[in-house]
Amino acid sequence: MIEAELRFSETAMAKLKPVERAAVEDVLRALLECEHRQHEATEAHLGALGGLGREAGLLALARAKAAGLADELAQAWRLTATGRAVAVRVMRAHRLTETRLARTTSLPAAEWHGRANQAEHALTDAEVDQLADSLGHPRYDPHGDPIPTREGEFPAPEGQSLLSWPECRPGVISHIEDEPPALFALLAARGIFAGMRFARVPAAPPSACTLEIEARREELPPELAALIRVRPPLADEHDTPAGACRLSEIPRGAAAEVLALLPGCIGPERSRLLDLGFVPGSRVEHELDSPLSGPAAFRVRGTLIALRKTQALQVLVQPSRA
Amino acid sequence: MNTRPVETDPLLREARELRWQLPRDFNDRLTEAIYAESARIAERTVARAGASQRLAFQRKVDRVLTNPWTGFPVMGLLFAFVLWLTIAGANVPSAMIADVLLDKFYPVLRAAAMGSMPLWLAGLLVDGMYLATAWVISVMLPPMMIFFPAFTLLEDLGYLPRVAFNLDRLFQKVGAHGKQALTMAMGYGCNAAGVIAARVIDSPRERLIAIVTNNFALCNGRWPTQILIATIFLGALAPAGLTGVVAAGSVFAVALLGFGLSLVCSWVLSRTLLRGESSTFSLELPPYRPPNILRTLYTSLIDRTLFVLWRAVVFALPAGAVIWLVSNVHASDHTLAYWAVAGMNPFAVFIGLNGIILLAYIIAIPANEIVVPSILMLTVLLTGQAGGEHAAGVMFETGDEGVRALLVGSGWTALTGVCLMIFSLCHNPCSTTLYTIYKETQSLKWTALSALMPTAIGAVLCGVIAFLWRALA
Repeated sequence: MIEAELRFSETAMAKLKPVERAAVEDVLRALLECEHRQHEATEAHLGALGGLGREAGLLALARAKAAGLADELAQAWRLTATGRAVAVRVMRAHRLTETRLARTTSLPAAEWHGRANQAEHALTDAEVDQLADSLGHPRYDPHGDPIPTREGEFPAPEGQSLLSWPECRPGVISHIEDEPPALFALLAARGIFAGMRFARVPAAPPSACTLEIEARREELPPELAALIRVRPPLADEHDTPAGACRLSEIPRGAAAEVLALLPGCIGPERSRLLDLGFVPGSRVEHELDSPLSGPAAFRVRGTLIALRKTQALQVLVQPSRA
Repeated sequence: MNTRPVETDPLLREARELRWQLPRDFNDRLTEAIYAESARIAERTVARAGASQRLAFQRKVDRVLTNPWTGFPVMGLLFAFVLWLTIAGANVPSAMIADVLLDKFYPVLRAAAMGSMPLWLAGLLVDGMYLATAWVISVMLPPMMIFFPAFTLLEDLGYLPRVAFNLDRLFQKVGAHGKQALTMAMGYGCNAAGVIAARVIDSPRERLIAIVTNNFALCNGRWPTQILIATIFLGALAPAGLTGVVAAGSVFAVALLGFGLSLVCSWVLSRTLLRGESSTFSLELPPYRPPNILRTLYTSLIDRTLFVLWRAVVFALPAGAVIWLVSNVHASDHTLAYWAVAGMNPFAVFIGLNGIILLAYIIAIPANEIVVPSILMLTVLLTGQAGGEHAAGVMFETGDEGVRALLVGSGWTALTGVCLMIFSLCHNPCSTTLYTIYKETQSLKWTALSALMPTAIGAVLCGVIAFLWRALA
């Protein structure tokens, strides 16, 4: 049945010019995201989500409607079955591309989304399947979102908004919204990524959001906290051990044992750190600081390795008692 | 839930549902378990020789070399020392080689050629190609034989990674990668090698920054120009005993300016054309090892010195021919060189240089090494100085004093010297480097930027210096 829909959607899309097609695909994907998160899909919201702006967004919606891909009911837009098939395919291309960028390039996290936005319209179905093959059929993209399978399956959104999470209860960050990119970049710069364990710290003003994320305290302004979705930990996800801290917080001359590489350390960087010996159980000693508070050098398994602060931040350690 | 599955096989359906229930990081857990297990096996089976005393010593050395107060001065002093060693040590062998190739062998060769060939062919071969090559060998070989081994020694000692470690913060601030310090260090030998070395930087954005700004590392072909001009124009201003120190100091200042310019350009690039955050940096700081001196000498002589010298000779032969031709082929009343120099002179003088220097830089696009020989040769031709047995467009070498007399006689001042040093730092990379940049980036745009950006900066800097100099004088 889905194959019939896909074939139909292809003929519907084939009638559009390439530029129009990209814009239509953008609004369809935005519609799917709204559906997924159970937002109401208003026109302004869709334009912004698709990165198109209001005018172009409206035009693309009208085209989608004419092609039988979306329809409108009392100011709220929704996808038709055909439209959903197109949207799922575009979303699959988008999330697979983001995964490839995160795993195989050293591009900063803030650049993944923009590049995937370009690539999603250019990739053919065969290329997308090939990409999935070469990546080993990943299930989640680096933002924590599920990647639709070739058959178009992906699980229902899990978790809830961080702002509605009760205090003191441990949880796991399940998703970080990458729109708007400037705010996402702020979270990435602080080293906060999907997959990290956290607990909300009781704070004096109820509006502020203070978190204990993987043994590090972070105060998030509401606009940043709003980007984060969280879920309860799974059965085999234990709490962050008591007394743990980040490698960047170990004073010079002190030693620690590696507990985990955190989710912010991905792709080639993760393999490299594993190669160098930053594996759970390794003893690490902070040996040198560079002038101008640049990178620090750590001795691990007999070699001296220099890491920048943002990288040492992504290593969870248990300080050794002197 | 969004769409219905294609297959109806219950087993496949269950497998697909189970797929989503695996823990999210199970791939990571598998990898980490493999790494942890191999580390455990290695721990159990590999015996380490107790080198605790050496380790303690290395730690002390590291503390000094990466300390905020001592790290940078040590770095500067080591670099200045290598420069001074090169300048001071290259004089005598340079003069010896010049004596053999130019004073003894050249007249014999010329006489033989004149007797057996048409005059124009003898001029082209001996006065053009042979002399250009001989000049390049005598000017370049001695400094290279000192500079390259000294650098290779520092590399083998394990010092260069510490430089990258010390400087990473600066490079991070300007949006570049700490390993750019390593590609620059390579560029001090040869920019083409520095551009290739940029492959060690994973992030494409930061690799492009390293490639485009590598030209600000003074390459081997430009050191002799810097050293010669610094010695005859700036060193000469100092009392006799301090000539070497002043010359080395001013060359060091130009090299430092190059380092500063590469930071500024990286900063501008990472905020305009190559916008983005700086990526990650993990660098192994290897233990200090006593270098194997013989092997170092061998590899730096074979791999670097002979390679670079061969390249220079290959480019000097046709360039010598071109110089001889532009100096001897006439268009209406004058030679081609005359017309070119006359055309460029107004602009060149405005930026503190002269038309001859610009023409020499155009002729020397294939190799920076032949800039000074070209300048000297064109000066002789166009100012009608020196004389006697030297024909038009003939390169010759009469020692530092002779060169100084020749240049001052044709209107050079200390300003011309300073501007030439700056322009030698900031102008287009040689054609080999440009070709390497094109091969590495696969982009004409970046290749063009790498050529135009430093040239524009050089012209502006020289113009400002000339303006201030003339305003103050």
